[in-house]
This record gives sequence, C-alpha cells and structure tokens, in this order.
Amino acid sequence: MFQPLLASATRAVEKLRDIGEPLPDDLTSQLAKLADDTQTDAVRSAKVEELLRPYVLADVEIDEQGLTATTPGAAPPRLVQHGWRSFLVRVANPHRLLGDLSAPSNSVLGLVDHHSHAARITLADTLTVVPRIERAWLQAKLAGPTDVSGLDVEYKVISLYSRDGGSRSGELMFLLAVEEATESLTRPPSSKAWQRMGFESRQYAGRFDFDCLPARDIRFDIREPDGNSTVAALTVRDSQRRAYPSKAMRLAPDMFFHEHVYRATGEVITLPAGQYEISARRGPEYREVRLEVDLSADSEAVTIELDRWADPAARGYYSGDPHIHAGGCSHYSVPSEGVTPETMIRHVRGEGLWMGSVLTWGPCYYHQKQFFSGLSISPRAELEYPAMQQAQGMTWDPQDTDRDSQSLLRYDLEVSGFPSSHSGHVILLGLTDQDYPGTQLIEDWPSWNLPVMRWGHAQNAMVGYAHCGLGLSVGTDELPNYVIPGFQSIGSNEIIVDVPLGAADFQCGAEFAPAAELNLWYHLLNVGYRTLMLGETDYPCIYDDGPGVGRTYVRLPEPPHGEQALEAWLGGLKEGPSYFGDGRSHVYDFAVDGSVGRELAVDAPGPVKVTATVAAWLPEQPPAAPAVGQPVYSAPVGWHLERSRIGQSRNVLVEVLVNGVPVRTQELLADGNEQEIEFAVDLERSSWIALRILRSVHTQPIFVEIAGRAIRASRRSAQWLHDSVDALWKAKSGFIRETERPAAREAYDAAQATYLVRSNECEVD
Amino acid sequence: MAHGEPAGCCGPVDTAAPISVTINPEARVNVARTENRVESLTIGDWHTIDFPIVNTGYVTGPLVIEGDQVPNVELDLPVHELTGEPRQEGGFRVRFDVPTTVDLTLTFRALGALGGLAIHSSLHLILRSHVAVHT
Repeated sequence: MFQPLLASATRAVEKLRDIGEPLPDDLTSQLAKLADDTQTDAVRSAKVEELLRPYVLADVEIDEQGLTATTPGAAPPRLVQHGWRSFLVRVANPHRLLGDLSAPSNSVLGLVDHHSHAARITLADTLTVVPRIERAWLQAKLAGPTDVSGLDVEYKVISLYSRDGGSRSGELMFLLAVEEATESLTRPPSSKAWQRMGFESRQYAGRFDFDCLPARDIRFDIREPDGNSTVAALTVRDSQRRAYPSKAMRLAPDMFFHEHVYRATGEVITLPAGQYEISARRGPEYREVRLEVDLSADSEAVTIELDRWADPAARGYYSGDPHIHAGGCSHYSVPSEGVTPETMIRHVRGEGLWMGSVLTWGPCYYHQKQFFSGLSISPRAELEYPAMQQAQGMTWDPQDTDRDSQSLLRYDLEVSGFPSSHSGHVILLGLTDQDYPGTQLIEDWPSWNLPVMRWGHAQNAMVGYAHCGLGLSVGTDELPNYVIPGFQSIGSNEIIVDVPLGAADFQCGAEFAPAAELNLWYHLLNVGYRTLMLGETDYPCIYDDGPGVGRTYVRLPEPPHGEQALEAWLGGLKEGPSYFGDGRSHVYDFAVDGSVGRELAVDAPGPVKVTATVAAWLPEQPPAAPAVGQPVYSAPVGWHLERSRIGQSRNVLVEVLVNGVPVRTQELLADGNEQEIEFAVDLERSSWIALRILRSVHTQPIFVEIAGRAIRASRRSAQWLHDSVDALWKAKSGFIRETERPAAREAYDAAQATYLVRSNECEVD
Repeated sequence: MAHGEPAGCCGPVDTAAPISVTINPEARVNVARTENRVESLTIGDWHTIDFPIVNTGYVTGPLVIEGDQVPNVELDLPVHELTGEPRQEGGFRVRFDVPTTVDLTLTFRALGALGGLAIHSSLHLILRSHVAVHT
C-alpha cells in the first residue's frame, strides 16, 4: 500500500520540521516526487523506506496480541543534556491492529499533554511529579498523532529528553492500547495493554547506548543600542536547523508554537557545544540581528546588541496591542487555564510593547478573570512553576532589566464565547468591573451587544469590535466598495448599529485584507462619525507569533506608567494623534495646515497642506519565497510592509486619503530613515483626511469641517450602512433572545433612521 | 455514544460519527477524529461519512472541505452552509474503484471566518474498501 505509507512518511517528516528538528531539505522533495513516479507500488514503497531509514531511531514490531518489540534503528542515538531530540519511529504492524501508541519511560507517566506539548497541565500535583522527573534521566514522548492506523508500516515521531550528559544506556519501549469492540468500564485499553505485557516474560524494550551531548547554561547579554538591559525574542538553531529549547517540549514562558523564546539580559538557554545561528529581535521597531556563534565546551555567554531602526516613543508615540490573550486558542488544549501575568509580561516586553491588553474571554473566562484588577500592572517576569523548570534542567533565574517598567499589562474583557458574540466580538478596555450586572454565568449575559457596550461606557471604558474584517470580505480589494457583506462571522458587525447610537468607539484590525477591514470604517467616517481604528493581534488566536503583530501607536505627553497607564493611553487615543499597523512603518506628526489635532475648522473650501514625518524599513531585497507549507512572512494573509513593496524596489507608496479615496501619492524609500512629506490637497467640502501605506500603516483621520458644516461626504456610504443594517438583521436576529429582540429591532431601526437622515444631508454621492 | 477529541477547544463532541468539526468562539475551525472508525467500504458505491459541526462561534456562510486527489477513490466534498446554530450535521461522500486502503488528508475551511488560518483544520483519515459479497 504505497499511498498510505507515503502519506504517513510525509506527515512524520513534516512533524519533525514543525517541532524544529527538520530533516534534510531534499528529503521532502524526494518523497513528493515518488507520488508521481510510474514505478510499481512495491518499488516506490521500498524507496520511501530507504529514504527514511537513516533517521529511524527505533523499529517497533507489533504482534497479533498487540504486544510490541523494539529494536534500535539506523539513526545514531545522540541526545542532548537538558534538551529534547526527536527521531522517526518505524511501526511494523503486520496484523493491522488499530490502537493508540505511547512510549512510557522510567515511570514518568502521564506527564506530557500530547496535544499541547505542555507538561504542567496534566500535573495535578507537582510535589509528587517533580521528584519523579528528577529521578528519570530519560524521558520519552510521541509527538502526535499517536494512533496506529492498521497499516502494514507507518511512521511516528518520538522526542527524547536526557537529564545527563555523556554516555548512558537506556531502554525504549512502546505500548499499544488496542482498540476493542467492547470497552471495559474499569480498565481503559492502555491498562489492559500493561496487563497483557505483564503476563509475558519477554523483552519488549530496545536497549540503546545513548551519546548525550553535555550542555551548559549559556547566558545572553542582550543590550539595547544605548546599553540598557532588556528582553528580546531569541531564535536559536544549530547547524542542522534544530531549535533550542526544543519545540518538542516547552514550559511557560517558552511556547511550543513559537520559533523563538523570550529572554532578558543575563538569562540563559541550555546549549551543547557547537555552531549556532542566533537571531534576536524586539518587535518590528528592531531589525533582526543574526549571529553565527561557535560555542565551545567552556563558553559561558553570548553578547547581543539589538538593532533598533525606529523609536516612536522618542517621538512621543507609545505602542499598544489592545487584544492579546493569556488562555485559549494556541496556548493549551485546556483553554480554561493558560498562562499567568508573569508570562504575558515577558512576551509583551520581548516585543517592545508599552501596553498589552490581556483580554479574558469565553473558554478561559472563569479561570483568567482572577487576574483582573482594573489597574495596569508591570509584574516581575517570574517563572510559573520553578520546580518543574528545574526538574527539566531549566535552572535560569528571571532577571530584571532596565526596560521592564516600560511595558504594562491591563486585564480586560473580550465578549467572545458569550451569548452576544454572534454580533461581533466586543472589546472593553479600561473596565473597573468585569461582571455584567445581574449575571452569574456567561450564559446570563445579553444576547446582543448594545447593552454590553453601554455597560462598558457607564464605567468610562472604551468599547469596540475585535478582528473587524472577519465576515466582511466581499471578494474585492477595492476601497471603498459598496458591496453589502454577509456578516457571516465575528468581525465588526453590530458596530453599524452601535455607532449611530453613540455606543461604540472603535474597531480593531491590521490582521486581514485591508478591504475587509477598512471599508466599513471608511463608510462610517464618510457620514461624519469619529470611530477610531486600532491595530491588534488577537494573540495567540489569529497570530501565534507574539503580541504586537498588529499594534497601535498613541501620542502622549509622557510615557504611560503606573496603575492608570491604560487610562492615559486611551485618553490619548480619544483625543490625540495615533496610527496603527504592523509597526514596520510609522507616521509621526501627521498634520493638516500644521495642526496635529483630530479636529480642524477652516473657513472656506480650498487647498490645505498635509504634512508628516514617515519612516519605513524593508530589507534591500525581497525575502526568498517561503518553503513549501510555510506561511509567507509572519502574517499569512494580513498586514506586512513587505506586501507594500513596489515591485523589486525598496519603495512603498504613501497615500493621502480624502474621504477614503487616495488623492495624492508619493513613493517612499523604505530604508528606515525619517522623511518629511508634504502634499497640497484641495478640499471642496468638509472631509476627513488620513495617510496610509496600505498593508502597513494607517493614521487616524483629521476631520476638517469647513464653515462649520458637518462631514457628510458620501450618500452612497450612508446607503451602504443603511442597507448593511438589513443584512445584519437577517444574519443575526435569529440568535437574539426573543425577550431582547424587540429592543434590538428598535435599535436597528434607530440606526437606519439616522443613516437616512445623514444620507439626505450628504452633498454628493 | 463516543466522544471525539476536544479538537483544541470546547470539550468533547457527542457523536457516533468518525470525525467531528468544531468552530470555536474565535471562529477557528478544528477537525478531529473521534473514537469511531469507518468500516471498510464496498467498492463501486457512494458512501457518506458523517460529521457533526459544533459551532460555538456563530459562524455562518460556507464551510468547504478540501482534499488532495488520491488514486482509486472519488471524493464528493460538498459545501456546507453554516447556519450559526450550535450544532449541524454534515457529511461528504467517497467511492472506491478497487479494494484498497487510502490515507486522506482533508482540510475544512469556514470561508466567512478565518479561512485557512486555523492550524487545526486538517486531519488524515484512513479508509479501506472491499468487494461486496452478494449472498
């Protein structure tokens, strides 16, 4: 059976790649070529086996009872002290049994959650488990999928941890929990498998003479250009492109879904002697620094000087990500847990963010809400489970840095997984109370958003919508466009009802296609609303890379600090200049006729002067195409300055918008230098003006009212909004409780009536 | 009643189907095999593989299923219209030309939501076929 063998082999090779231990590049392509080869199945199957044989650590043979016998394969059994190495396992199953395979080792059972690669969530009692880990010099885990599918031969991936360095002899055995037609109520299949093995006195385990590379803690002396200590994202790979610490097993604050780990100046990564490529970055305001390092057995430290190309804070602009999570999505397969503020602050610091809004949401609501205080915090980046860390050989102590106080967290709320979430996910920033009045459970909350928005406003919170573009794609990149979306997901939906009623302040994006995100915003602005737009990440739900993939920069008279830091940041957002995007381009001091204020009154139509200081940085050459199966850049579909590159040049296009339409453009050399730009723009009527580099940065508008006339720039925008309310009702009303539906209908009607009035007030189509 | 894998979120799914599709509150599509296996299928006939769609994200619009072409098997992968209701039933069809075993990789995408971004939206499924025995 060639096809399933090839599929299994390819999947195992991809698994090794995904956990950071890739096999040689040409192996994947050679496997792929076999799919179209015209030779017989038998010949092609033999070729698959021949290609993989050098990387197979263990051959596992399953007999008719489901008992296994393990023998060493051809892969050299080389491990690394205090680290994980991964290998292929070949499973021969001539009796075609079905079941689940595991690799128990040294009585360290049930430690590893195979879905999340995180140890601690399965540890009910670390006091019991830690000594067991410490006693075990060898740990093993299968990197899923772990099912045995009844094929003659299939390939799995095993990851092995060595506590010790040097030569050690050890055994590996495998356990097949055979699927049975009748399930036992008292003994699960794995217990039965153990029982069966106990009845037989045969050798199940294979004996391996492991060569464990000694490793030592390598200290990283990470420095800002000014010499300050700091936290950065470090990606460490050896000459075979293996990641350190291994992604096969990471403990918070190191995340298995990151390529990198976050380390502060003076903190360590355990590494064996060898050659490494180490890259360091601290968010998009820094160019990646790459070092080729040859660590000898007595090496102790690596010095890294970060390369900052932009410093918005020096210009008075302070970054924030209004949408990150400490639980759910990629964090763990038990989303009710997640990580602590001490881990989240490390991630926020490592991305150079000033503010991070950690939003509690549905699946982790009851657990994570304990961290809500209504205050901004900047905790020490302590380890969550130091005893577990030490048992795994991670002996580093958290270090404070000179920049720690420049990053703060604020726990707030995203209404996701709540009864009203169908109408878009509401973000509430700056809450003082996170429980909706009269509710005990999430299920008790309102089934549409307006009451929640008003409750937030009553607390002086800012309220708006997350991942605005979801469900608003209409199959065109045109901006603005007039196609009514289906409102089929959880983006900016009810915002078109809430804004006219004064109940919504912003929407968040910089994650998806600009047309899906910006179109609704432009229409709202075109009929005179002052809705804000923010950049967000929805980390680690939409993007796993880290906080600040999408971000917002707010100009403030002084850095946000202390318990009211978020309130200060939000205050600047409401009243002052700000911009959002991917952080790879920046627009400082955007002004109309010299004024950076959000509102400008002029006496008569005519020319105005638009000025700004713009900086963007792209590498001189476009990056190489990604490997097969790998995403393009860090943002698979969203905002990234690389998508703004004009052809093969290093230029990007700066556009001046008047009422959503580009009226002036200028190419900008994206070499990182700040450049003054100036445009003369004719205004025929009251209008909003903004600057953008599409897919990278967008300013908030400056609203210019001429002779006191309100902005009524597009009758078609008003009509689009009016008609969208109908589409919204069609999509959402069925999810609103019957008891609440009349009030919702009344609000929808009021919104539509407002749009009709504004449509009539518009001077032009 | 068997329980499917948590599918990355939201707890097990009650189903007798061999796979389950879960859309979490953040509109991410997860698909997982359950403990139920697909029995060997007779060649020449279309067979339906059922799956529940547990939709905790209120996602509406099309749910598409993508699968690579595999020799000796035809796939009928219909587009499902998500209603946003907490649970819907779905299915796709397969037909074998010859007795064989295949390893299918299927990807589920809710086009109105996160589309291809979801990292748990693919699964592999072993299917077997045999010649029907007429008595």
